Amino acid sequence: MSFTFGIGAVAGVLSVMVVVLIMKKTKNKKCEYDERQIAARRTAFKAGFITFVLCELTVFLTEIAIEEPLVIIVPGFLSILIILISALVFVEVSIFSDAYFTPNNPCSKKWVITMIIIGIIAIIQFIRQDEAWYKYMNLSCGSFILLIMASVGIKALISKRAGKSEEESNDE
Amino acid sequence: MKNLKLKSARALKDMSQEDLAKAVNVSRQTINAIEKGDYNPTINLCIAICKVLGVTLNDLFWNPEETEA
Repeated sequence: MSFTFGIGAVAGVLSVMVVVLIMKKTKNKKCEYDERQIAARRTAFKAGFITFVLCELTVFLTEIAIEEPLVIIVPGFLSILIILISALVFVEVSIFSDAYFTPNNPCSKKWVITMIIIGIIAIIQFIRQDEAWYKYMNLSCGSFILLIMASVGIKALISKRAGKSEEESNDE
Repeated sequence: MKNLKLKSARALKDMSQEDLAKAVNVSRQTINAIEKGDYNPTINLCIAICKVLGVTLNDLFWNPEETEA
């Protein structure tokens, strides 16, 4: 492990600790989920964790069967891919149980547009880079972000339709 | 089981799901889930809803038919 990697890791952990401490001190209402959402997010986390375990188990059993380490692009990339897939399951379940945005911080157009731009930039970087292995990181992260944004859009459409039919039933 | 009592109490106060959700600090989908019977709220949320709608817990969340059975 190089010295710069060590500094980077420590800086990462410290910055997360600072953010968590600030969030706890300010008690930001925007970040508070309601009780149904907390329950739904627990279910979503469970789904993500089960996905993670199943993927790791599949890789492990495959490695035993083929008697050599399973490598996709570079060693370690498969682990990142599994983490992304598990996170995707967690986020998708949260989105479709209306537990992705807090009641005081609903989905804003600006946020969605920013995320779509970030996703597209990552995909463009993937196309531009020729040799580097990490271009596949850009592809994975870009697809991850765009998939989430697509789900947010689909869920918004479903909610809109459900809202309309609800209004109609109230009018009757 | 649908909570029609909550729906009618809300309508009586001329409040939309969104208005009630904001008043008790939950999402609109949570109020919708309670009305549809998809989610059982905690006692704290029940009390908050009752306070906003000016009714008692019995008025909204007590079902004599269910308890008799």
